[in-house]
Amino acid sequence: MCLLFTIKFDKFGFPLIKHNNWNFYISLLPVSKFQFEKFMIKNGPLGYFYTDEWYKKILSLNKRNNWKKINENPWGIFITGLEYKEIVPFLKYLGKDFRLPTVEEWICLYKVTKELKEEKESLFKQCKKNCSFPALYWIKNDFYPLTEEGLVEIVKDEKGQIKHIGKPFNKWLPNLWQANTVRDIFEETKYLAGFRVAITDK
Amino acid sequence: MQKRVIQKADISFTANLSNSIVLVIHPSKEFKDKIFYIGKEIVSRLPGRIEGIYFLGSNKKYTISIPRDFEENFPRWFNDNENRVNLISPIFEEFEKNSYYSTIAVICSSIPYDLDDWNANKIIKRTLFINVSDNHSNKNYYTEINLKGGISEIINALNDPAINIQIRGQGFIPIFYEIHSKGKIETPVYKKGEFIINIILEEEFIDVHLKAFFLKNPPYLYIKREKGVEEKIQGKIGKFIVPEIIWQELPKELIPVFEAFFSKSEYICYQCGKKHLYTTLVCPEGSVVLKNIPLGKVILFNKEYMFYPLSDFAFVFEKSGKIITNDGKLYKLHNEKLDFIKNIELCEEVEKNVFALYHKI
Repeated sequence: MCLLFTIKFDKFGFPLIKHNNWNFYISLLPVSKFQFEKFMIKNGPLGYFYTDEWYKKILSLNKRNNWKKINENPWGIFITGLEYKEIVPFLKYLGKDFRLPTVEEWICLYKVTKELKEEKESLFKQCKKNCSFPALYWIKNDFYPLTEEGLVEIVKDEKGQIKHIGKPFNKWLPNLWQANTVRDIFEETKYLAGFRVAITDK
Repeated sequence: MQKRVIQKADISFTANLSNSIVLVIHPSKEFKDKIFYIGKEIVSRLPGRIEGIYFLGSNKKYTISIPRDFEENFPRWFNDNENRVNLISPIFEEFEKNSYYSTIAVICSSIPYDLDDWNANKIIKRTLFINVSDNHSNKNYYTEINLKGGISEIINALNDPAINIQIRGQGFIPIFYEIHSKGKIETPVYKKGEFIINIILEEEFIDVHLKAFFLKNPPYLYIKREKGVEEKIQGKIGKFIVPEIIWQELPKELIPVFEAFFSKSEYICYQCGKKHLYTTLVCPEGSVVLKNIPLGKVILFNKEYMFYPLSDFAFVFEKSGKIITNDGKLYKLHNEKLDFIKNIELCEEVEKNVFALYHKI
């Protein structure tokens, strides 16, 4: 049994975790294309959003990758390059309390990276029953939580402004960034930014 | 220990051997007319074989009863799905969930984005991508066909002939079997603890009837196709009342012969008056000794000088779980399987006071 963390699953079977000292749940991994596609299938197009043309454009920025291929272009597994207004319907679909994580929440997750890795066995056990195949596969293969190295991620600051945090996969974008530093990124590189979801534990 | 229960049933299998087709349509506005034309042609050339119609990006299934339903409903269905994202996972997931066996024809203008997620899945083998655009990818794990060869080539590529048809199941013991369609039903063969019946058909429709014993579940009809997974078809189950054994009296002149069987000794031949060992069943000075007894198949008899020739493929001793087949082989149900015990060497006691005689001339 995992003593440090409690787990919840979103509608598509992707885990959100809560440390015993937190009052929120946050996705164990950034939102994947697999997960976002499930939403598009269920929801259907919304005006221009989530149409084939729209998705083709999104994929042209970050090519889709098979979720099992974590060692080749892992970036391609995650949905990136969305604007906030394109993320909102997804959050709504997950449930009325779902939102983007705050900077503080993201940093909390970053700080427990080591503990999460150590809790792999119990995480896996807890996820086994209700988890989607990809997430289970990623946990099994240590492909989580991708905080020290993963994506640049969209979060919100205390004023509700969009910010970016996280460090991109080194192999794909060599840099000297500190993962837990909030930064503004160039408009041109926004297509690299992914996101997690969070929910306050009431 | 749980008591083993041998069940019995009269089972009929009827099925069409032509593979069913699921049409998957890419709701691409740009290629709408071309996609409609191909879809219409497939539907009209394969009447009665369209299992369902899906649109990429959705798991909603549409059905048609007659080819005209496709023409009439296509514009509405297309509008309902227009602009959906080019994803095949919702359809493949439906197939996995419901164990569908159909061949999948995807009429598209580009390969679905998520196809690579399925690259190692068997479902790809029975999926044909009919690409209506000029953009072709060259990955080797799926089959893509263009329109150069015309509709006939597409229809040919969609056909998936049956290469192996079998009836089998856990603890399956066929007693009687017959085929009503054109073809041949082969003598059951014993393999890895169960009987298997192979069927060779000369037409597209299968109609087989059998009476059988089995353990947990009745046997299934299995159809293995060139490209598809093995299809499992349940039969129509009826009641099988095992006919009562009607023992017949042995002809008087044969009683000494059967007594010699019991004691494995000699008998005085009614033809030549000389002594023969019980294994000698053709008199050197006369002819066949066991006159009026059917030879070449198993005969059961007892010490009351009564006999019963097996007319079906097998006889089951329900209490002991022993099975004797008409070709002189003895089996026993053991741990949910059939164990082969032995070949009957002329004459052997198979149950208490029940002997089996298997004599081939």
